[in-house]
Amino acid sequence: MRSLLLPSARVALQAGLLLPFWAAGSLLSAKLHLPVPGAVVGMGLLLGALALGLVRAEWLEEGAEWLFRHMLLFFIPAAVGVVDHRELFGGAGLRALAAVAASTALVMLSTGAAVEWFARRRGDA
Amino acid sequence: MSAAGWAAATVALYAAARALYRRSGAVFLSPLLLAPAALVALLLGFHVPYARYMQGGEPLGRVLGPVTVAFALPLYRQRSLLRRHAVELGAGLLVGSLVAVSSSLALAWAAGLDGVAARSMAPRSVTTPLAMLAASTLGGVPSLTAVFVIVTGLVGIVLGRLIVERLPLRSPLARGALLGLGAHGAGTAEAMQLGALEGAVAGLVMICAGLLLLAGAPALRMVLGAV
Repeated sequence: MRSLLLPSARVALQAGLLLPFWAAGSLLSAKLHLPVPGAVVGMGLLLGALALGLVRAEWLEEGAEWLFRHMLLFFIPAAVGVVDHRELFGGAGLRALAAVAASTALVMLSTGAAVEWFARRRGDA
Repeated sequence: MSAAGWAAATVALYAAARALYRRSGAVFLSPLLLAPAALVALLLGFHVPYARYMQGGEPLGRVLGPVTVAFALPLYRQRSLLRRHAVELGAGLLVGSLVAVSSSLALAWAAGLDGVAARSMAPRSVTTPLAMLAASTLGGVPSLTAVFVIVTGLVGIVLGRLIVERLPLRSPLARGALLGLGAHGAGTAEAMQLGALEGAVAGLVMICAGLLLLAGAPALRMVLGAV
């Protein structure tokens, strides 16, 4: 069942296979003082492992899909952080919200237009 | 309530909001709005500090690490398509990133926010960990940036759906790119609903935009001057 919250053992195992890449990436990022977080380094490592054929996509596929499906859950704790910013609870918060919304609309429209324009010029849209 | 209790409450509220949202489709029932709102009400009502909540919440948030690693998979699957369309995607990445930072700063200023709040808003369109890193380079407050990033995701789900439905975009690349650049992970989750290519493009653009911002942050700080 796609909407099920709890993963099956296989899905959990597949998601667990991501952990060593995350750990290795975090270790590299810390030891080498990289300006990039460990998770991004870990993504690069996994990409390399997939390209070299050391890891097969099918080994991780269902675990990754489960994580993607419930991605919003993992953003919730950061969102609750708004309680520590009471200055945003009043009018300033509403003005900030309007700024975020207007800026987001501008970003989406300009990005969509730029990609679409180039895609049509190259004749593949 | 114990740390495990707060973690369980977060998951339970997420599950409840998700069920309501899937049944109704109403945006204000989005798990990213309803669950944090309920948790904020609980913390305020019972005078629980955020730090106490985070003893349970932080481990959940850390799962975004493996989620980020997992983006290697759609990128790998769609690698030949992504390589073929590097020009279009690169253009979107540059245009979108410039618009994101400049319009965030300008609109924060227009909204009457102070300099530190504006600097905290500048990196809001990229994924949380990268945005927080960029915020500290720019002289913003990382925890305030995290809030702006989340609000961006929330607003972005609504606006993204509207724009994708109304704009006459023929290219799935354009749809994926605008969602990934405009609303980071939340937009990418939305793009994955549209299709595998849209999802991969959104994931790629999201990560590249974050890395580009990190690379550009020191120069941007010089432009903005000292706090």
